[in-house]
Amino acid sequence: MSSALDNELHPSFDYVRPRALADAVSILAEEGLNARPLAGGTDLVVALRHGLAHADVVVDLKRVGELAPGIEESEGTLSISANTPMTDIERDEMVRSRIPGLLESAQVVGSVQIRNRATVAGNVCNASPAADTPPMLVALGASLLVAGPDGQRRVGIDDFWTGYRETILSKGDVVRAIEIPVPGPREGTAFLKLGVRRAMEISIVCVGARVALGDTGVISGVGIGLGSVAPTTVRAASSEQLLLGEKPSPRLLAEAGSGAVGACTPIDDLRASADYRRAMIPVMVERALAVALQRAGGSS
Amino acid sequence: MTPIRITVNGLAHRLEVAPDGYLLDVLRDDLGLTGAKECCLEGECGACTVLVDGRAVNSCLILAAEADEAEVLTVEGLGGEGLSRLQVAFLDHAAAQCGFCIPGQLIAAQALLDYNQSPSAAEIREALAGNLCRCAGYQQIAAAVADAAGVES
Repeated sequence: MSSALDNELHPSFDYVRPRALADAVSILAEEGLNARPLAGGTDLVVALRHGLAHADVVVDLKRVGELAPGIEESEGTLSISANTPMTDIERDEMVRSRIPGLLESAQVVGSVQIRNRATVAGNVCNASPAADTPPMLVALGASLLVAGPDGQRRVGIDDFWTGYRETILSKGDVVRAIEIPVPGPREGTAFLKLGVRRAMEISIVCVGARVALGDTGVISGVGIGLGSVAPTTVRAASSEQLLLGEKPSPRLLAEAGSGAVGACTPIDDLRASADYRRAMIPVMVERALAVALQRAGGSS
Repeated sequence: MTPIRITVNGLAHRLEVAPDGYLLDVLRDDLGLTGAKECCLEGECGACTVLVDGRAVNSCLILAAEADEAEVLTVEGLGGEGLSRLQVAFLDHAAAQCGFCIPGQLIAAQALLDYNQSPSAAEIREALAGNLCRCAGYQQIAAAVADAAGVES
């Protein structure tokens, strides 16, 4: 650890605080400059402190007007702006009443102190495969509104992560908002996290699930996202296919759970073995689907 | 150096901070407020908890420059003339053992009570889940918070 005097004489990075998105983008895009965007800081600051990340300049996005905290619904899409902390997600009436799975994924992130700073956009951009909200965003079919040097574009969440802690973002890109299709009245969501304690926990396996029921009681829409089981957050696409158009039953949900293992390439790490993860994936997926189904107004 | 304006425990300050300096260090070293403690430096333990604009945060994870224009409350600002009701409850329940985590526990508890005046036992535990106590005095701490709120622990 360096002394305060060392810091004064040789700061390890510079700090800028743009007020406009265009300025943030142009600083981050500057050639030859290692500029790192700062949102809540609960990942980046830890990494900077411990020498796991380096920056010439930290670009604090929190005063950028276009990114100001806000959760708004328009024409069936919920838009969560980039600077919205997890706490605001937890307190949002729309999220609480209509997307309980998103609430559940936000409220298990770290601690109150972390959730007062950490953002969903940061959770997605940090690209940790163990992150809590991404599996739910996969299940919900979210997309990201990205601003960059060449303008603005939308990226589906499935296309966002390209590898372990890697994303499609290139130099100068800033995630502006996360857009979520608001589930309908016969659509349920759930998030489950397997760990050894409730708070300050990184999951062994976590699952986000969404189930929509059609008029005849068959599954008309479904999403399953998994965390801590592969280099990125993954979608259990074959399980989704298995469920679509079928009438829910305990056996069907169990098959969907077993089918999810194929989407995963878990590893041994200090939290659990790959074998244990493979054993728990079906259990967690089946349970998450059952809760989502129940919330959709159905039963298995 | 980066100039900041910051209000801490009701007092306004103008300071010059290093771009890579932390709020925790400004509070402790520049302002002499040593209640918030330096411990894990990665947001795990909660010993550095302060309120920033009314919300409990880990001051070890906030750059001092980020706190420009912020209102900060540390444990030193919790009471008025004497101790706050919450602080008295901590004393009554012998909630402080070694005491190192207590400033953070108090601030986290105050943030809870500011938002939720009648927390359940589960809500109290959840609100304090980011504050480790290596003496494991959790029962007394939770009881003190419940007592201050006038609810069952």
